[in-house]
Amino acid sequence: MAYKEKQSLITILIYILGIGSYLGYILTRDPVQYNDSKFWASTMLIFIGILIVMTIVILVAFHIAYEVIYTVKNEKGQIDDVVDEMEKLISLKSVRNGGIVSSVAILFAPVLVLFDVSLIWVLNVVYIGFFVAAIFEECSKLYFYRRGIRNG
Amino acid sequence: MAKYEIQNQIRRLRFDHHEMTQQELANLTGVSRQTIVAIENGKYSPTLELAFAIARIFNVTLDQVFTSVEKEK
Repeated sequence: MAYKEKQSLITILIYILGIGSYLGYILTRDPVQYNDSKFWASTMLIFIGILIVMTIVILVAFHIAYEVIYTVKNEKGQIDDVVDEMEKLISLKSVRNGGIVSSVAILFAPVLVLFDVSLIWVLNVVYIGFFVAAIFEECSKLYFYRRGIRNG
Repeated sequence: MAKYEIQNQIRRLRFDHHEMTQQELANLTGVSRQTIVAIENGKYSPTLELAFAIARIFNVTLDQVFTSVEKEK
């Protein structure tokens, strides 16, 4: 498995952990807090912040660890972290796929309102939709790395 | 309309050029080894810039590296 595939896999695991911990946190709160819009705003912002920092720290640590292992094994060449034309094409198509998923989540939100779902949960659907879109984007990258990608 | 696929001779050309490794070719062309692997296996069709760069490295013409072949039905 190439460096970038491992990087995508780690990112997917971080996002899954992010969704899991967010759901774990909100579902174990006192339901009284559910009506407090500030609770939701602060929780969502804090989780986004934690996730961004966690992603950066883990990916940097992964890069350092990979480089150390690479050097210890005394393998020829260098780590394949070049951003070339294929990488850019894969990123473009993956971002598009992720965008489709987040659009579906955003369009799904008003449907929930029609079914009298509380606006707080509608907001949660959109929020989690972004996580799912990010996971889908990384899964798309993995798919394109494995199966190849065509122009056009 | 007939469908075409692009085939390449990179593996043979590397072999003919002192068994050049994929990593060496990647370094010379400024792309990742993963991209060279994908091109060799027909999983990625390079841009004209990269295709010409590869041909230039092997000192051959573009059609000696890449050929367009009609897909078998």
